[in-house]
Amino acid sequence: MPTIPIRFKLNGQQVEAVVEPRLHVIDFLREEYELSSPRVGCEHGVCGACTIRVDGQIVRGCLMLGVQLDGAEVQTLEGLNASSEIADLQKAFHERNSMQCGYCTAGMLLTSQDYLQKNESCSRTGLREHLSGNYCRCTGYEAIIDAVMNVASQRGKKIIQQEEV
Amino acid sequence: MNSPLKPAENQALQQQQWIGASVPRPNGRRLVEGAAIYIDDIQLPRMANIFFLRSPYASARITKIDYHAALSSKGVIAIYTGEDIQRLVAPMVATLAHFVGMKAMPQPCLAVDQVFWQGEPVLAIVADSRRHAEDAALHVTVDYQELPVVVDMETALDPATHVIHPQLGDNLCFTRKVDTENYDQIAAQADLVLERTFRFPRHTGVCLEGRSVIGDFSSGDQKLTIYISHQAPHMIQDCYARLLGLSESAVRVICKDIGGSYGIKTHVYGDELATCAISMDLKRPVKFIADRAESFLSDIHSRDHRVKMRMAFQRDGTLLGIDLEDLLAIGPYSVYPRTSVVEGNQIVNITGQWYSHKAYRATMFNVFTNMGIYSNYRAVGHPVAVGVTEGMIDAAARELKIDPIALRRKNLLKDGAFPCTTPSGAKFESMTHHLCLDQIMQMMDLSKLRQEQSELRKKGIYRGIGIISMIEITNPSALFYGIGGARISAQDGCTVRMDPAGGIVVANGTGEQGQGTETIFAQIAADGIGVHLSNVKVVTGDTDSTPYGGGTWASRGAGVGGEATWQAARALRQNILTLAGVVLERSAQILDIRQDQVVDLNTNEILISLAELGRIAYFRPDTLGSYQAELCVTRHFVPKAFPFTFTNGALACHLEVDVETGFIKLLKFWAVEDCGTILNQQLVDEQMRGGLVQGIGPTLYEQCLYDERGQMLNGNMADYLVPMAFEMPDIEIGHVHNPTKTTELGAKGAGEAGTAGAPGAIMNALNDALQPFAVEMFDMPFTPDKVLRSLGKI
Amino acid sequence: MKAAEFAYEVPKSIQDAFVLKQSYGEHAQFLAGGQSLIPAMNMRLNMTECLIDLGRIPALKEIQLQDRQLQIGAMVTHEQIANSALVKEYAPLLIQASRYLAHTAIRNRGTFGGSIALADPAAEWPAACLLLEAQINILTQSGFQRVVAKDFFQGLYTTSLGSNDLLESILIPVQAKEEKSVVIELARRQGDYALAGIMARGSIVSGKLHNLGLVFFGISDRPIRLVNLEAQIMSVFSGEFNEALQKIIQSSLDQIDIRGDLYTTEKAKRHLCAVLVKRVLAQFI
Repeated sequence: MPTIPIRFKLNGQQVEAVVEPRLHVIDFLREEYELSSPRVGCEHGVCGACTIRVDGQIVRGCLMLGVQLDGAEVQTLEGLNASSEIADLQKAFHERNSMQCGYCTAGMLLTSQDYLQKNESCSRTGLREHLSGNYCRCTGYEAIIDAVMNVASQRGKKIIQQEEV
Repeated sequence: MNSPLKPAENQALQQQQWIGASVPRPNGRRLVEGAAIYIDDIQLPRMANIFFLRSPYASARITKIDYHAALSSKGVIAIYTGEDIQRLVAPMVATLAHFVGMKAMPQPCLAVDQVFWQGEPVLAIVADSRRHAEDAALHVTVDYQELPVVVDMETALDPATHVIHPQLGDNLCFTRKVDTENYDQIAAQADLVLERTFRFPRHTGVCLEGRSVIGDFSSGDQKLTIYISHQAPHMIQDCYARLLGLSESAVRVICKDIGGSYGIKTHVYGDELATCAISMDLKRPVKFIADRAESFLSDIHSRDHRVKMRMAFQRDGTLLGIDLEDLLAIGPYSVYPRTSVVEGNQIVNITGQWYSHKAYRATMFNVFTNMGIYSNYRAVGHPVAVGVTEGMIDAAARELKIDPIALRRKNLLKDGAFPCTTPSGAKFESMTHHLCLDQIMQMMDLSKLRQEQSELRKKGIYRGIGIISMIEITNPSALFYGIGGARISAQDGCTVRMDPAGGIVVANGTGEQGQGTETIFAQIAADGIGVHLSNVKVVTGDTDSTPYGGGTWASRGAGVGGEATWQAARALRQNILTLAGVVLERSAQILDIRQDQVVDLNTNEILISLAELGRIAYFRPDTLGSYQAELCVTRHFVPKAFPFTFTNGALACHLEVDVETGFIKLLKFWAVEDCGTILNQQLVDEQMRGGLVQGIGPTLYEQCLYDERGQMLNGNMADYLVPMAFEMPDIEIGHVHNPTKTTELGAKGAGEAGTAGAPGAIMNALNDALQPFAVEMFDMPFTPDKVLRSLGKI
Repeated sequence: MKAAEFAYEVPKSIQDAFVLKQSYGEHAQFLAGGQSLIPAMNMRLNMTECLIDLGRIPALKEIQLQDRQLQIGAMVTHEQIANSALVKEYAPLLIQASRYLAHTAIRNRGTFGGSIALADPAAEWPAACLLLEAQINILTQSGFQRVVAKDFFQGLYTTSLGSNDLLESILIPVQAKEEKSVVIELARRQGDYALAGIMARGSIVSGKLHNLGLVFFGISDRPIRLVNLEAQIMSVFSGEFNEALQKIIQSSLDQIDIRGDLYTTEKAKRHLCAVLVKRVLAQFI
């Protein structure tokens, strides 16, 4: 099967590659660029471990094909780390022990940042809803919620205490 | 029995700066930066990848395997059948001598002639990439002749039922009975004999990182390096060496970051072992990563019980006796090397034992089926033992019309009644059930919840409160496995050394899977010696670099691994002080180490830095006269005083049942845990929370669903329901501190209590909510469908 | 779980896409959002030889208001709909339904057209289309076709789409201002497919219920609308839920083909449908 040439921006750097169409974004990024933070957990889009950012939006990397990245701007945790965009979140996670085995952490950080970027008013319930597509087996989720709500306060968001859904 | 705490040690623990502090994990930083290294992140030169073609049938004869065409498929390096692997690997027989009468067949890595469960590996395809190996599989033909299937535990032992392994005679793997031989007599005199049947579903771990291994055989060195996501590296070293025909020292096991384990990764799996055998055969590294589909089918499953429970009471609520029969369904093999019978064995040993009673009879039947292979998973047996006990206590409270807390108060072992040996033979050192109940009730404000419950019932809103008391096995001695012939170490070793620049390195045979093991070892060593936490480096997960250890399981990391660390640290401290005494020409008795400096014990005057001592010891020993400095110390520790150190606690659940839809909403949880000396409270709390949510899973959501042909119906993340963030409640944690006197640190384990207690707490809360309808539910998971049926709505 | 090999085409216009599909025939499939198709490819449940990616065709990504109809391009994502001011104004039911729909990362890629074409009986958009009496615009070999929703959804993952047809857009009649719409979905976990769900619309005028529409989803092989039940309820409904109403609902539900799933029996789903109607009507009181 023919491979397809693509050009895109990866963590701020312009790159070129030739991709087999069947490779999903995670396998492509891991193999071609030896990135380790994009990772697979289920390869059917349910667990959220593969969450990365494409053109500013969080997506399931396992449900996108590498070839679809042509012309896109991709950010993985490596990139966010380098730019310090989520330094406050990372610090809050670390201090609150919001990560145990760490496997879900990249997805949790990116999805949490997405929640904070989209909401001027934040609540534990709203945050839990936003994170409802990210599986964690170790923490039981509460420490993650604590850390992100803490950062929400720090960033000057309005905190809604009780929310009945 | 270890001697009681020496005065100097006692003082040291009281001066602690790090032990007890909720310090963030030093190794946590790389996790939030995306710099963790899991096995799949490792690339080695010439590394091949492996794909296992697995049986689609639960029970069948393999009549033909034709892989000829696949050999020329792009990227294929080699293909192995079960027979091929049999020539490279000795069979695994997972029986242990202390499980008397247990029987099991040798398990091959890949099926030979016959398959016994859906997902059993049949063919190994080795290629340059996983996708090429999967492509090659399209050119493989495997023909099967289906055989009868056994999936129903209730009929597994019927004479008419197909016997899975005719050589064993029947489908019984193991049966055991504990009997004080007076239950019938006691029950005859009881005012009430309560009988209920409980069901706990078969479920699995769903570790986010699939099982992962790289076998890397170096033909030049004739050595095998195994990179594996696993909780017990030394056990892997021992098992793999023996099964692969290598000497123990020819095998090195390395663990990196582990993406979740919870007991799933404490076993020897045929596919992982085969991967290493193939590496030896091909003389190149071979990697196997279990994907999600094969994880559901081939990771060990657990629980799957039907328990018939009876409790005899006097009218005033005094518990007289307990009688139970536990039937559980394992797979077609006993899993190596821990066996598949420990779960049931725990139930027979500990059910109800935290209550005072005179008569105890517990029988367990562990039967083979053609469902997935089965073994130990977080809290082994405890969710069932605690669940049935606490479910019965509440049921008795309802029947006797006694408040459930009062009934517990009446019968729970008194806080001062220890040490004791229970009717089942369990030896308890010391417990604090009443203190834990006191505390949890304070935390919950129970009377307010009851008032609210009563008011809401008038509006047709049904909330329930469930409280449980529980115990948990931690810090196991050699009586857990070693006594049965298993080469699974109950001891741990720790080497602590001071390097020339004054830095401390701790190497411990027990390692990290995210619970914080490395952090607490650093905290212990820091206080044990007298240094700042940032000056302690911890090395774990490498059999070449650490003393021989047991690994993490049965919540032993803090209590056993931690104790070895403490003792080694104290010994190193002593050696540093002796050296300092020589250098300073003072008595070591009046010196101390504080904040990386040697100081005068009484005046606190800084006398010399550790860095300076290091320089002298390593580079200027000519100045030390005849004295030889020893700045590297190893200590080993194994629990001996008791077979296990039991912890205890209380859990409570508040929930709401929508009686029209059958949906259950969890409102809040409370947990009070007594794990003795707490090394890092944040880490303990997070183990409680994570464990508790894991226990919520099978109580409300998780179940491995099988049809009558042994096909798993829900082996994917969409259909197998794990708890996600939105439905989970906040959990408030409290602590009671009752250190064990069997170690200097006094620490007990904490990793599994949440998982053990959650099912019972939810079940009791559910039945409390449904009390106005005179309905009881004991069949988990509690799905909306089941709730509606119990309520007679359908 | 690595996909088998396949070829990849990325046309830049609707016409190009259509022509490509004609030439590949059954050897190619359209790739919309990929949130259902790519898992199937990864699991090798689908081994199609070529994917034609519709993701670079701007004409398919628009939401427009035209003649009292909202036109939603097939490649409009779930998230775009959830955030669209036009949709909020003219078809608020879609916003209400989007609350239950998967999770943000999925919604950023999954498409309205893809969901309609897949016709999962437990999905939200097919039910919404049925209730709102949407029309589906399809490009076929014999030209342009417009199919009403009730004719479009034919069964389990089955629609009126021919194998080489291209679903272009969906037309949704604007919801009346005085109309109220309600979506109640029961699912085990936030974002899961419906275990049982209902979408409803109607208006209260002088204490009487008008233009009631009820669609059930997650309970059969397709979303189900019970026009007779709607009529009966409207004639009987007086603002309170009584025995007579209960009987009418029960009897109507007994007629429909309800299918249980892995966890929830047909009996339970039938019961839940009745509960959902009751809860919907409570919102019209």
